[in-house]
Amino acid sequence: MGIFEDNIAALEKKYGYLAEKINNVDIDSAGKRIGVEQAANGMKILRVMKVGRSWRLNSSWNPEIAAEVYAERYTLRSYGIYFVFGFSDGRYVRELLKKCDDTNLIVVCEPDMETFAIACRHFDISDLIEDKRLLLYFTELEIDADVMLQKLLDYTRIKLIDFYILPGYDVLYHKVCESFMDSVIERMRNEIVNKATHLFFDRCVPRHTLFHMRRLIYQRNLEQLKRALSVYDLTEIPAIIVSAGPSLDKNVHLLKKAQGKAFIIAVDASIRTVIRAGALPDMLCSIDPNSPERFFEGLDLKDVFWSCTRLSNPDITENYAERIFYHGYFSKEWNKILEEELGYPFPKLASGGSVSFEAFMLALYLGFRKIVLIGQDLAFTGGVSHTKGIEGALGDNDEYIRGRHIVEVEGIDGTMLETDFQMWYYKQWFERAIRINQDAVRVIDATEGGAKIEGAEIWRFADVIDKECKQELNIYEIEKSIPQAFSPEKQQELLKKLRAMRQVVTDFEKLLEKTIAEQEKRLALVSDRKTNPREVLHMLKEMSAENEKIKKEPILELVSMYAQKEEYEMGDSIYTEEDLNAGELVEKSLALLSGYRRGAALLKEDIDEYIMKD
Amino acid sequence: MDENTLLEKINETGYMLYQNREQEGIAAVAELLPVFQNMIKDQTESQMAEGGAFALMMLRELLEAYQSQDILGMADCLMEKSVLFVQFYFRQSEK
Repeated sequence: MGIFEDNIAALEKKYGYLAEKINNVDIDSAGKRIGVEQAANGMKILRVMKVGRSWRLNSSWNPEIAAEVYAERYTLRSYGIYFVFGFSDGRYVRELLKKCDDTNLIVVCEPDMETFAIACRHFDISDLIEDKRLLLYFTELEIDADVMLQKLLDYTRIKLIDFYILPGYDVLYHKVCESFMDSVIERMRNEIVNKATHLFFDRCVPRHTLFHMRRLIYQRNLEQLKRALSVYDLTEIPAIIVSAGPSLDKNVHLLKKAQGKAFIIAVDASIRTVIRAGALPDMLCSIDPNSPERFFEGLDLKDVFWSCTRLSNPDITENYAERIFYHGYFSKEWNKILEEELGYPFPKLASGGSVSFEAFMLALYLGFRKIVLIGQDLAFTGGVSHTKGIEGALGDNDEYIRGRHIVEVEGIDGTMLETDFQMWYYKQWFERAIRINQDAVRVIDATEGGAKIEGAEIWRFADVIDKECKQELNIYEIEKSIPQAFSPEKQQELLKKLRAMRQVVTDFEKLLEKTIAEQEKRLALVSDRKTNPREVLHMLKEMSAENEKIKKEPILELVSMYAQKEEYEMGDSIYTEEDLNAGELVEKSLALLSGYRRGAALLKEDIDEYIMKD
Repeated sequence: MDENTLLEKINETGYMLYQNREQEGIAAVAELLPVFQNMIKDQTESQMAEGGAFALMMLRELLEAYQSQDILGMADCLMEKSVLFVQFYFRQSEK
């Protein structure tokens, strides 16, 4: 086999889809822009034509030495994840890999797939493709880097991340490079925010998850609605997302005119204002775990379709939501079971923390390509926090604003407005989602106030109604025709499967007890100075194997939700404190296992409350 | 600047650029450019006759790479051509 065939064979093993893409690259066309030349030492290097100049992607003097010198700059540490922008001919990455151990991961972001295709024809890079410590990512194949980053980065690793750029790549591919770096930084920020959220909500997240795991058996899911809508042309039907910002009071009275001509999504607190304006939304999106009852009390919501996830407040959904379209992730095992029963993956949306963002992703998921925002101030317009409709559910307006961490943002009219950090963060998410989906969706901000959202067109809501809500489509009736996702027999089976989880937790508790007892014995031994270092090392290896076994238990996913504090504490230290002695390592392991033991007991209590009761 | 100091400076700059230490590297090239310009200007007639074209080519290439922020272009020019030019210049001066 030749170089190309070897490389393609390696790609097929690890990235099947990529091998096909590389095979399909039009080399004649790519060859007009990208070529190979000989360096002074006789080696091949890549060159790219851009802005009337030929740019070499490695040294024309000595590409091997250049790659060695480049890698010399960096000190790689255990468990580090290194994002490398640019692949070139693979020599730089090969040098970096020489400095890696088995705990490292190098993620290479290559902004130009044609360059990689040419590289595959001239350089033997099969060793790199096959290397388990290397992951290739192509911006052209997956525009949203976060999809990949979510799988790689968790809180425990964010202190171990570094970003490297190959020479010339940041000049040649400046925007892509900046966007990729921003994605990594944003993921890191999200992990930090997630930590704060998890610790804040504590036991509430797993409890809500269990509640909805059961409730969804008797409900519908978003994929059903998507399929029902797929027979209609939604091009001219806008989705109107109604948020609870203060500007909603200016134009909510027009909303009724859009009914039957748009897909109206009311977001949590906005529902009071929407109902009072005489409109009936096609969907009420409610995902906030602490959504106050006062948002909904006194309203007749029987005819409303809800969109909920595992986080949604169970009390609210129990008391007010009769018909729910579920979506999201519950647990790996439960989603797998649902997928098997449904014959399709349980629908999941990218989450951005705010319920408005969830509504945005929901509209996109369902196939709407024109999204209109109203009440989406993302700022304290006129010094007011929310629509009047919420009737002080969040307490005194001024006191509420004073209690927030205030930052300034540009308003739609160019003036500066006060907002809080949370809304500023949501604004970033919106802007990013608009940017990523700019070819697929048109976003109109008809809030008529509030913060300027980059990428959104600014309109008056009256003009939206006149110009964009012309075609009739009764989505509400379509929703009504959608039955529960499972037949009564299937519902019984699913409940049985869910209830079997209790025994799994009991078995897991036994495994934990046994492991903790073993590790307590070890702690005494490693603390004893008479134990020789070889024995200590052997014991640490055994401990690591035991912990790996526990990590592989699927139920740990739910148990660990009750041991967030212990997990984050472990994450804060275990990879970064390089001078921990054997005793300290065992102590840390024991602290985590004890956290899991406590978590398993709490999980069982909650299973009894939410799953086992008739 | 004597030959050794200049060669060391070229080498250091090349390293910075190959390591993609952009700002430091570009700043170092900015310091070297006038040095080369002055050396070319100060060349004797015989130096000009023997290596003038090469010197001018080296300077133009370095300047173009500098203006385009072509990191590898600058590094390669320094390591391939500027080193030769400096060696040639000082050998000729010794004569």
